[in-house]
Amino acid sequence: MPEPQITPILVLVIGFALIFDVTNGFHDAGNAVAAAIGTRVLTPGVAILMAAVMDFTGALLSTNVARTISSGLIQTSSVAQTVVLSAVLGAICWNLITWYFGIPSSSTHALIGGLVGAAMAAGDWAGILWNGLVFKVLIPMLTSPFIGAVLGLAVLAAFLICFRWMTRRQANAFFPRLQVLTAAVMALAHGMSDAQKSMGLITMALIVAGFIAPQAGQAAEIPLWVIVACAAAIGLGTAMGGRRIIKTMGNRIFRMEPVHGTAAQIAGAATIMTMAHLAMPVSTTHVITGGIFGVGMGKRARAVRWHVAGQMFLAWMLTVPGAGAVAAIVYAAIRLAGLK
Amino acid sequence: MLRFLTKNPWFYEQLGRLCELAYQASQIACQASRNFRELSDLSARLEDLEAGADELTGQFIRKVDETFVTPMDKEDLETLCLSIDGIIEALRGTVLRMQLYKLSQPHPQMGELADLLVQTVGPLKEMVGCLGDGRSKRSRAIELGKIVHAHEKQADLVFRKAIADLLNQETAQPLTVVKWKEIYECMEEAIDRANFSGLHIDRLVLKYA
Repeated sequence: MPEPQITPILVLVIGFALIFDVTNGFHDAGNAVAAAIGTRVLTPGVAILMAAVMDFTGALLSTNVARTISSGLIQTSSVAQTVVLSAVLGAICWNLITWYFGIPSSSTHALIGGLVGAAMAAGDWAGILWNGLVFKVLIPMLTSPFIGAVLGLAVLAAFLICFRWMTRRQANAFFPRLQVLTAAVMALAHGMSDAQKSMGLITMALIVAGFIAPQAGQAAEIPLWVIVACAAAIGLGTAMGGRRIIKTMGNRIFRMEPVHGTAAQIAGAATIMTMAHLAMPVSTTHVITGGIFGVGMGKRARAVRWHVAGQMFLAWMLTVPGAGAVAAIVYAAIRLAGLK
Repeated sequence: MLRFLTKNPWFYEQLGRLCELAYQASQIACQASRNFRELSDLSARLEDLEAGADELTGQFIRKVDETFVTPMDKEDLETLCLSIDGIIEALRGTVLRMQLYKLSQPHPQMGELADLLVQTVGPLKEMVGCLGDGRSKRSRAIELGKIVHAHEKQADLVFRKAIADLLNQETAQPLTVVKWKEIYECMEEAIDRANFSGLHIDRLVLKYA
């Protein structure tokens, strides 16, 4: 057990983890309310403000995913602080690159890719907890978009059956109101899932620095100040950006009406909240995209612009290796700079 | 994928009825183009038919506006209904002009153009029927669409020839030429609208198959 001390690199890790949360906010959180903006139920300004508040609230509600990130992917006993720093820097760079080009890739994938890439660059292959990586991260990541799509389809079918009696005017009044509510729940789910990734990173850095000593075989408790700081950072990030990617998510997949947006959001929120409860860090981007595709297929398979789906799929495939490579380069640069 | 939940035969039945009225209107216009003695009677029949079509179109548009779950997008249903109704309106305009302009005898190519009109409008009802059956009748709808388009192209040739003959007749009365030119243009518009309806049904069959 190392003597707890505040080192410059620990400060850097915490600082960059919070910056990562901010980039996650303006990169990902817009997706939570993209459907509501795409259907013009909410203006971008109001939607993003609401998302920021709900994201902050959601981040305070659960720490299950943070525990997985902090203790379930890499052995904290062997990992160096520089690996954590490289992971977070690699993920930030990747998020900024994809944000600049308007590609809705996943911040979660970027972070996991960054962690694994930096650990590999450090030669710490044994420190990677492959079991946790596969069952808690990779499998949920791969399956969650499909779960989102199937749920989206099912929710739309339920709407068509249950609200068939409505007139168009009644539906046009009802669904936009419901969509505001579901967009809020979606943003809450985003906070519950995504803010915790930085919480997990900071907690990991605190464990490595000796400030937290998790009991053997148990995940570390997340300090309250970490929870509040990460919640504030993701809320701030959400308020700062998001519009660039909303354009892709909101209307490029297919032209949505409020009933479709509502169905996609319910599917997305339900999937993310369930996964967060199971301590599985899934990507909000993937899940909401899956939901939108599911609803689009329900409306009409030809209404879905499959080439956009292809571009997104390519971006997703590139994220883990891309962020991992960037993290490895950052690790090499840090070593060259002589930081330990 | 969820089309089975949005099925509503009422919309297709109503469009089918409208196509039937358009077909009857084309037959009346065809008779009128050859038989000027019964023009007033035929014109009155067409007026009644147009009133019926307007009533049907009004009902259809109201129903589309009121219904939340429709078998197709609202805009698609409205465009199709209005384009079919437009055929009847153009035919009413054609026959009304024949009657109002007090022309003594039919023009030579008018009958030929009217026959092509009937052949262009004829397949529309069956095409609308294909809409409700999705993939199974897709190829039949495309086949009928080709027939509609071929007749419209042929009608274009007849129309151009008729206008040329009309304008090249040096002994013709200028007023008579103007009257016939207008009637031909009205008839041509009805055929164009029938062709547009056919193309629209084709597009919808592909879109919703």
